[in-house]
Amino acid sequence: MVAGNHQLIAAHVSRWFTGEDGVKLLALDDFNLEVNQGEVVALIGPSGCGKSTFLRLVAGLDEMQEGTLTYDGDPITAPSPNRGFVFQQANLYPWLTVEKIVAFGLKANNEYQEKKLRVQEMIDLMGLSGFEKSYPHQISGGMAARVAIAQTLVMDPEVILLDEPLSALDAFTRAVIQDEILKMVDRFHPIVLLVTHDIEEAVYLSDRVIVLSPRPGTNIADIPVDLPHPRDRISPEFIAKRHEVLDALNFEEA
Amino acid sequence: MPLASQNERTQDQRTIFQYVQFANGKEVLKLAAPLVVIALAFIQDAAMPAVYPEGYVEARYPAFLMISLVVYLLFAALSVWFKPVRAKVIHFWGLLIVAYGLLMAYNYNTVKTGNLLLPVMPSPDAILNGFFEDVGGAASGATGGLFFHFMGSFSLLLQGVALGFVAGMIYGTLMGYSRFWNYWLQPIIKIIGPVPSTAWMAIAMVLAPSSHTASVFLVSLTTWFPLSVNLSGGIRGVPKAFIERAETMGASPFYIIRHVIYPAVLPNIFTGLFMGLCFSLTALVTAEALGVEAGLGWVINHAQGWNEFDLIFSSVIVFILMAFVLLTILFKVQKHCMKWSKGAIQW
Amino acid sequence: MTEQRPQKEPIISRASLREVGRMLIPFAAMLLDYVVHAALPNVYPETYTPKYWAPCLLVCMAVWAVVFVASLAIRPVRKKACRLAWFIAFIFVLFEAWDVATLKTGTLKLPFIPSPDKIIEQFIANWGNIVNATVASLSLLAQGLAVGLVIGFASGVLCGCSAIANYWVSPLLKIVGPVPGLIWLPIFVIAFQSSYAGSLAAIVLAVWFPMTLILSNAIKNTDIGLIERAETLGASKAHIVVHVMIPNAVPALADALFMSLSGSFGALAAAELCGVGTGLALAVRMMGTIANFGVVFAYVFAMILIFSTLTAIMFAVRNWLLRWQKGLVRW
Repeated sequence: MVAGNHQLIAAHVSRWFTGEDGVKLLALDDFNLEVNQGEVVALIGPSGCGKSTFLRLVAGLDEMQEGTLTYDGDPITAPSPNRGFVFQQANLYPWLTVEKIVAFGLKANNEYQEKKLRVQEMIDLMGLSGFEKSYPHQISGGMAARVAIAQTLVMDPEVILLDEPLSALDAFTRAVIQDEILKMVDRFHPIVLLVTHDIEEAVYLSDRVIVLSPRPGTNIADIPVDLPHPRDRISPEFIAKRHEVLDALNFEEA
Repeated sequence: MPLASQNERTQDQRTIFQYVQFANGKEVLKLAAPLVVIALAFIQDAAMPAVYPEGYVEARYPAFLMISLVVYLLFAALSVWFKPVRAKVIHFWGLLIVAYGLLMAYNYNTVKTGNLLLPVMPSPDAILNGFFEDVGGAASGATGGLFFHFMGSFSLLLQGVALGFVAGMIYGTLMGYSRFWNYWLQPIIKIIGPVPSTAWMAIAMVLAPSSHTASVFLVSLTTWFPLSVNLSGGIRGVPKAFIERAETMGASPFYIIRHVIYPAVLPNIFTGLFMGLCFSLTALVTAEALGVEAGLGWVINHAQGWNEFDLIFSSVIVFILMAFVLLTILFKVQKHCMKWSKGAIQW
Repeated sequence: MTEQRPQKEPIISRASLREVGRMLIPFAAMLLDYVVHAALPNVYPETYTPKYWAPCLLVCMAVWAVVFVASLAIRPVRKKACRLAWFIAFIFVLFEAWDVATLKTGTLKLPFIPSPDKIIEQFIANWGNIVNATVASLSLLAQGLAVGLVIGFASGVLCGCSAIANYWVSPLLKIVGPVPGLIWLPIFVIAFQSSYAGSLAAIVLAVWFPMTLILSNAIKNTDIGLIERAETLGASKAHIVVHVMIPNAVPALADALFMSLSGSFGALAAAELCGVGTGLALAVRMMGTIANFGVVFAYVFAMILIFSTLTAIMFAVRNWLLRWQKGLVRW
């Protein structure tokens, strides 16, 4: 692992929603996080604990009410191609072909001519070869999820925000994509924030697992995962880590 | 795999001969049936004397039937060998039989027996002659046949629709995209939009510098209204996720409008245009009949006043053709632009 | 993600100071109108003395005062009133500008552009005629709409479900449908031997065409998965049509309703002009030809009121029908 110079810092972040009737609904309460380049950090917690809310704040899609959120010292105010977001739902543009969906971000930033080859590379990497000219309604849900990931990764973002992107995939494809994500981390050393419900996925991918409390979300535990890659999902150490996370979540394994 | 290799072979030999396949017996019968009916219509017209009105000499109806016969024969002959043409021609076999059968019956009841009385029911021949009659145009001073008036209608319609399209796109985009503009523009469209163009006619005619300008304005108004309503509603319905996705990839607002919002609302734009074009036809006829005093709408109104029913029928047919062709083009363009969508209106 | 349950808002609640301020804006505009109207001398035409515009403004103020008082406590009224405040103010300023341009300065000339006062005068003078014309228009429209919607719905469902019906109806639809009522009118009048029936037929046609085209397409495009799911549950063909295909076509039905209604207004106007010889559109036309533009404007305002109300009702019905769907064409 290479600790680089890019750094994402969240300090005392609070975010609430105001209902029509003026009632405040606190989603995130005094949340703190510091992530360095090359680190993969998993956010895990019960539904509605504000994990996704935090990810949207980092992406620059929402504004928080309190606290500071900085990337390399600059406050985050708006979305940027530097911070790629993979949404939970694929929501692919139905009017574009797979190839054009993947190239969308490059075209929007006038980088398509220089990075044309990157599009095909990404398509091959995600196992989408042969479907370049297909429209979203012609491909399966698992493929759509991979297209969505390719669409974000093709931009070579410095920060990758993953909002349960693999939840729609079958177990086999999921394992393949997880390994692809690890390979990419090894090559480009981005900051990766992963929101997931899957403890195994969190332990398999990340260097640290942050456990959030139920709403309003705040840090409960920061569990380092110092197992060497490639990780063996059935090794005793791996299973011990899973238990540690489970305990922090205060759940009993069924 | 034998199947795959067979496919490869046909791929290699992609020539015209690949489409050649002889029609089977049932198909030949279906191809021949309309031919028989058209031929019967021709024979009936030739065999029966024209008795009503007395001394009427048919000019163009026999020629029309002859041309129908030749054209159909040509298509039928092609169909015997070529599969794609055959599918199209056979699709029309029932419709053609009924159409020419009705024509035959109509011819029988008008010029051949006089069961349906003139001047109200002109014979097919009289209707055909109407296409070539010199009609004149009061206001413009120019005279000419139906073609002249058709061109007048057509250019008026195109100008109005083009103007209405531009106005509707701008208006609808502002109304759908910006809260501020929506506040001011929406009540205006609610007030002005639903009122039929005829009502504005009286006012537009005196305010506009010329009756032509007033007519273009009225036609554009009727395109602008449904296009704006459909477009703005569509824009507000674009999934937020589509826009956020583009934002996280660093797309500018302008880029998002052009490459996310407009493609997403393409179905709404086409629905709006379809409605706009249909309403514009009404506005066009009204404007012509009451304002510019030229064009097909005026001809129909004028012919009604003079009880020239043959001319009414001819102009209506020309108008139908114009509307049909325009809408067909619109739907073809829609089909081409929206390959990705399944739910579009099919013509 | 936050799971927010829709909470019932209280209907009665007190207005905030900001809201009260916003609702006062139309008063300011009406007052401005009143003052300007009273202060400037009437110069065009010289002999004309305005009698109606000032009282009309007072009536408007009284109406707005009622709304204002109601809004202080009733939340839904207040929301609507606050939303419309700036626009209403704008409309009144516009009318005063009109008043100044006509009566007060003569910038816009008679007989083409009458002053607001003149229009109100004509509206009151022709009140009986306007009501008669409105009743005539509305009754013809109602008949045409009713018949057209029933036939259109029936043929739409039929063409959507049956390929044979579609084969025979669709050419007729494409040829007869897009051509406006005004064109068919002479032929319909001949065919039905009565100008009233002919006019009715023209309206029916304008309603029938979009209804059939859009509805049949929507039914044909029903997702095959939905149909197969119903089939595996043992639903009969008729059951599938009624409970799967038609509900699935409701959003398209809403589009069709909008187009049918707007189309029927155009056909109604055409029918009145060339067929039945009564109604609002005919009155506008006749008054236009004799250059009585005060009455023309009075009739046009009546038409605006009627047609936009009808369209608003249609959209309300539609929103209710489609309350489960997000992001539809809004009014």
